[in-house]
Amino acid sequence: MSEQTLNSLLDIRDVRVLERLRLKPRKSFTGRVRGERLARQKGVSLEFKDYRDYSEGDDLRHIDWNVLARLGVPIVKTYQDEEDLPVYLLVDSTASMDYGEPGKLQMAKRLAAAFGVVAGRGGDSVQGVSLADTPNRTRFLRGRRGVVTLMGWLDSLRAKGAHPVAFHLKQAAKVMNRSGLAVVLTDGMDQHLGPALGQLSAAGHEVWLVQVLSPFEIDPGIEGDLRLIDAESGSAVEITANGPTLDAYRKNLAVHNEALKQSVLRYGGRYSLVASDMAISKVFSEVFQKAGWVE
Amino acid sequence: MNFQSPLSLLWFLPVGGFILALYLLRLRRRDFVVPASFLWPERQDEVRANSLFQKLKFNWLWVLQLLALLFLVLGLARWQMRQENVQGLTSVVIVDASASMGATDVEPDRFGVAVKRAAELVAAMKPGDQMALVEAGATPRVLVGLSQDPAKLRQGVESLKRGDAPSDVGEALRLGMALVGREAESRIVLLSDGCFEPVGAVSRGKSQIVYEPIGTKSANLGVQALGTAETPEGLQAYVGIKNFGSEDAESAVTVFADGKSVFSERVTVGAGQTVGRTVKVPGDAELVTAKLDSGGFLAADDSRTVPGDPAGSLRVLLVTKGNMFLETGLNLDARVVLDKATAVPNTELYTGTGKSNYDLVIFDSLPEVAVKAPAVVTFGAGGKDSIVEIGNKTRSPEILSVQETGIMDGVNFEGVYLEDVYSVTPKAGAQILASAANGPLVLIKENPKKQVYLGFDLLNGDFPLSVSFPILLGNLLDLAAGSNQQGFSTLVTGQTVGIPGKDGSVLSVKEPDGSTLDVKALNGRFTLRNFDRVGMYTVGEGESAKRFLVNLVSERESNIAPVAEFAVAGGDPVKAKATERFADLWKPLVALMMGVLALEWLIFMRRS
Repeated sequence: MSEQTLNSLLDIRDVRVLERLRLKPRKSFTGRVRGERLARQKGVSLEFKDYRDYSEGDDLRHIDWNVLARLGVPIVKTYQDEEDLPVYLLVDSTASMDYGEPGKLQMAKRLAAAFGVVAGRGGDSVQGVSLADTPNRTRFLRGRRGVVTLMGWLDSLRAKGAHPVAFHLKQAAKVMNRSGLAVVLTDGMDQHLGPALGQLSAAGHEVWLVQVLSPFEIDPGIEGDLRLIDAESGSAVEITANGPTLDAYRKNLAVHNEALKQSVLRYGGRYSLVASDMAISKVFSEVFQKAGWVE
Repeated sequence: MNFQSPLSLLWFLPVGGFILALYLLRLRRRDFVVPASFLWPERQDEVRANSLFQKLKFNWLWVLQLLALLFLVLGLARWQMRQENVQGLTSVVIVDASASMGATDVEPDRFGVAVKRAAELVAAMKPGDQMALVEAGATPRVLVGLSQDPAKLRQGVESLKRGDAPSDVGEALRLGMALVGREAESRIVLLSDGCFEPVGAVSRGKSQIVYEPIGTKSANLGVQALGTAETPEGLQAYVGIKNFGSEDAESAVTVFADGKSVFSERVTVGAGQTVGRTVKVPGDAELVTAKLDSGGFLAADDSRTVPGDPAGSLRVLLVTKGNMFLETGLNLDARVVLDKATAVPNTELYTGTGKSNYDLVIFDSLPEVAVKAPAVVTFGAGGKDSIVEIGNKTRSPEILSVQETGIMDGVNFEGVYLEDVYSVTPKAGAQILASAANGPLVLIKENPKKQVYLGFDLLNGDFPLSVSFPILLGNLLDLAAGSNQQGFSTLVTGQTVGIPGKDGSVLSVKEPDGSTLDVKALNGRFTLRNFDRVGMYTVGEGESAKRFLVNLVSERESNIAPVAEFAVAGGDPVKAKATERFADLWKPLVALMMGVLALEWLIFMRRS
């Protein structure tokens, strides 16, 4: 990858931190090409390693039916082999992401690039998916060249569209054929995002939701009599921005974020709230690594 | 309830309407793009309005603003609480400026409270009202005649001055009556503690007296007596301390001789009781002063100063059937210890041996008899031991001559009406000091004893009302006391003194507080009326200067217990009335308005 492309989203210090990390999904997924990740796979060159309890989302094809018939307990056979992990980087590119300083979309792109670097170093396959009115995604990319391609694709993303992110997420889920790790990078500013995330989980993906909010959204510094216009729907709300109003907003935001979090955790996924002004290396080392997302 | 400017209430309509119109204006809100609007509550606390009209929504801000406006308009309209029987269209405010009004049982003192009340009454005047202001001091004076000008009256109130002298409230009431007695529904408001001498007959006319008592407590100790006497043990001073209060009181009493402490003791005096102490003082002491360190609420009687010379203290026996003028006049002199009798006691009759208890015996229209006392003064009827032979009476004879020396120094009979004057013949040794058309009028004989004869009855004429009367009494007392008084004279507060002087010449009077007052001689005399503060006055300059020791000598003033009602001769007693007046409410209204605006501001700030 070229240094220049890297620098538009990540600086070299971020890359150095990221290259030492590997994604650590809770579940195992079936890969298509040999990778550096231990996985289970039916077919040639697979070496049986062990049994383990079935967990939600595991491929039913790998259940040992004999054991199930004998013991009544679903057990999954695991094989020792190195396989690639399908990693979907779902970048919210709706209009609401064009907000804040620094912008949320820019932060989402940087996070996606960072996940791409980590996944690339782990030998995983990465697919970038834009959640926008115009469907846009990459093929599965691997290795350093794949990361460079991903960077270029991310760089081209622009925030636009009138549909909410939940709509785009449902559309994307339909074409994500290989179950894998779905990293959703969004501001979550959609009341119906929870069910869409559930739908994604139900499709066999382990969902990691990274909610990117600008500092202004976390603690709005506005006052006076305002007409608030929704960036996506264009609907307006008239408010008097004062102490009680801001308190109510903060409370609503906390409730909404908690609902998003629960909708992800319920299906074995992960949730994290990231401010758009945080450094990438700090997000990975102090948030994701501590939370066990990467190792 | 009353409004002085009711038309001002109309301001509420346009201004209130304007305030409401502002809230009818629709708010022009600033557009602000947000990522998602669903998180924001639809909350509109409109505090500003600036464009198209909308339906009026309830908002505490406009309610409070209208309330503040209401208070402001009520204030502008001069909302007053009308109370009955307080002030009429015409009123006279009499402020008691006597010594007892200096009592500090109220803040700052009773006089201060009275002045404040007078100012309030002036402030409460309605357009068209008239008011006069009278200062009831030793000599009542009209400070401001009936006036509709509040500024002038305020100036008058500011010029009110209290003295340490007893006040003549009766005369002040008569002055008030003279001013407004003929006005229907007029009021005379007396601001006093009621500590004044009984009020003589006052014709109330159509006026009503509204007495507003001031003061709450009675605790007061005073130096009631101070005198010196030569004794076999040397010069001694007698100090009497009286408790005028209703409870026992304690104070340290200190006696000073020429400023040096010679005695100090803490004494406890029962309510209404007097405690005396005899103190040895240096024989050469010029001045003897007694002081109390905690003499209650009235300070004016906490100290007294007399000359060290015992001659400064005189025991006088007044033989009379009753003469208010003489009794009052004699009691006004701080030197005098007065006893009164209708006949000379046997122990005082001259027997050729023994010493008299009195320095002076005065026969008031009773025949003079031989007494032991070294000095005798006789008015009217002579008697066999008199220095004159009594003849017939002559009706109002012309006064021909007066030798203005000795006891006649400063005494003038000009303009004095003497109804009956005895025609007398002087006995041997008697010297004529004044003569009338029918013969000698005033005579003196100084050997073997001092005898003075005045050929008229005091009660038959207006001499006791003249300025010369107290001067004559002072001179007679000086005669009895002798001439060695070292330049000190004792006076009581409020006393007037006449000193002979050339017309137009000026005499400076240095007051106890150090200020100097120039007095011009008129009609051959300086009339000094300003001895109204306790302390030492110096009259004149240089060696001829005369010093007057002025003390408060008035039990009525020292007894500071406020009086709820006082008697007026020939009429119903005047009872205290509650403070009744037009209460102008603009001050509390402004305070309320400010409070409401502060609350409105608080709400605005919380919402902004």
